[in-house]
Parts: sequence; C-alpha cells; structure tokens
Amino acid sequence: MSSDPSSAGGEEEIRRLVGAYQQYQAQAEAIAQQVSLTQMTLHGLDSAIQAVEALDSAPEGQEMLVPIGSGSFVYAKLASKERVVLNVGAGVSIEKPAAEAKESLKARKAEVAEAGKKMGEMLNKIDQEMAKIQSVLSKYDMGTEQVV
Amino acid sequence: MSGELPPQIQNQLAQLQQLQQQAQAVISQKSQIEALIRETDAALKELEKGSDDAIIYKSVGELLFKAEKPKLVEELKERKDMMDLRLKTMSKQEERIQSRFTQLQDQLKQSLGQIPPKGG
Repeated sequence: MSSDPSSAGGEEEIRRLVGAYQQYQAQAEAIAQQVSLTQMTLHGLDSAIQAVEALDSAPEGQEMLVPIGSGSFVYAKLASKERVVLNVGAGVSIEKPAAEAKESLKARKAEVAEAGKKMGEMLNKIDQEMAKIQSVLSKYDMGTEQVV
Repeated sequence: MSGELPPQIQNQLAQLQQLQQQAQAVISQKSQIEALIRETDAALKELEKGSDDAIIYKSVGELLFKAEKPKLVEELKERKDMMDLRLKTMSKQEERIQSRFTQLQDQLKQSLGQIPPKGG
C-alpha cells in the first residue's frame, strides 16, 4: 500500500480491509478451483450420457475401441447394450439397465450443474465484496495523495 | 515490523502462526473425511435400492471385481464407522488447537499491552 494514513485508526482500518481482501481472495481461489473440477465432472457426465445414448443405435457385437488411458485403445466388441455398469462412489459400481443408467447420469449431471451454479453465485458475491474493499482502499490512497 | 518487537512477542507470534497452520491442516483433513463419509453414505443408499442379487463390482485399483452385495454393504459400513471415529478424533484435535490459540492470543495481547509507547 502506498498510503500513509495520518491517524492510527486509519492505519488500523486499512490493515483490517487488506486482511479481509486477502481472505476473500483465498476463498475465491478455492471456489474457482472447485468450479473447474465441477466443469470437468460435467464434461465426464456428458461423455457418459452420450455413450449410453449411442448404445441405443449400436448392434450387439459392434466393433469398438475401449480407452485404456493416455489416448491408447484396445479392440473390443459390444457384449451387451442393455446393461451398463455405473460408478456410485466409494469404489462401488452397480450394473443397471441402460435406460436407468442414463437417468441416473442425467440426475447426477443436474445436481453437479446446480452445485456449479451456486459456486458461481458465491464467486460473484465475493468479487463484489472485493470490489467494495478496493474502492474504499483507493479512497484512502487518494486522501493520502491530497495530504501529501 | 517484527524486527522492532521484543523476542518474547516474536516467539508468541511464531507460535500463533504455527497453530494457525496446524488448524488449517486439521480443517482440510476433516473436510476430506466428511466428503468420504458423504460418498460412502451415497453408495450405501444406492446399494440398498437394489436387490440382494444385484450385480455389483468393487474397484481394486483400475480393476473392477465382482462382489456380493451383503458383504460389500458390511465392508462399507465398517469403513464408514472408522471414518466417523477419525472425524471425532480430528474434531477433538481441532478444539485443542483452537483453545491453545485463544490462550496464546490472550497472552500476546497482554504482552503487547506491556510494551512502552514509541518515543515515550
């Protein structure tokens, strides 16, 4: 800070505002990180929904490539288009009929999207608070310049 | 600024910072455990929706092993109990750190009050 406020009270207030600003900044960074994780999850869910939907039109025995990581694939043939194994967390996966699996994935996507929306709203509020603090701090700066 | 402070106060400030870091680490571990408990609860709920002979897999590394529902439910419940216990331990640890922090903060306030005013 370039300001050199004349009163001890002013200095104390600036310190408090800077502290609050830094706290908001840390919160905003943490939330932004969560938002980007949410976007990745949404992308994954979209891919899964697309794949389950594609099963509808694929014949059993359809030749396909199954990803094994790092952009590598192995050859496979579709053994069943009616059943999908869905991860439900905690290292557990459950076999479900394709239609039910699709609904579960869509419900999960809606939940994640809602959480992402709430996080976005929180980020906006934090941004507003940070802007308020910035404006108060800049007044202190201007006041000091006038004094100097 | 800390260069102008007496060594005792500098020491108290350093201890406060250390406690703050410890508290942050405990809080972060607690939130990780809470997230795992929520995930386990959700998985148990999903498992309970299906019949006992539902086809279920358990992930072991990158592999999925076929599992029996009652056994897996039991395993998840045990895992959850352990996590609940760990959470309680972490909460107690957090309380201890918090109380030490408050105590040290009061001591620091007292010490700061004893510093003679500048230029006096």
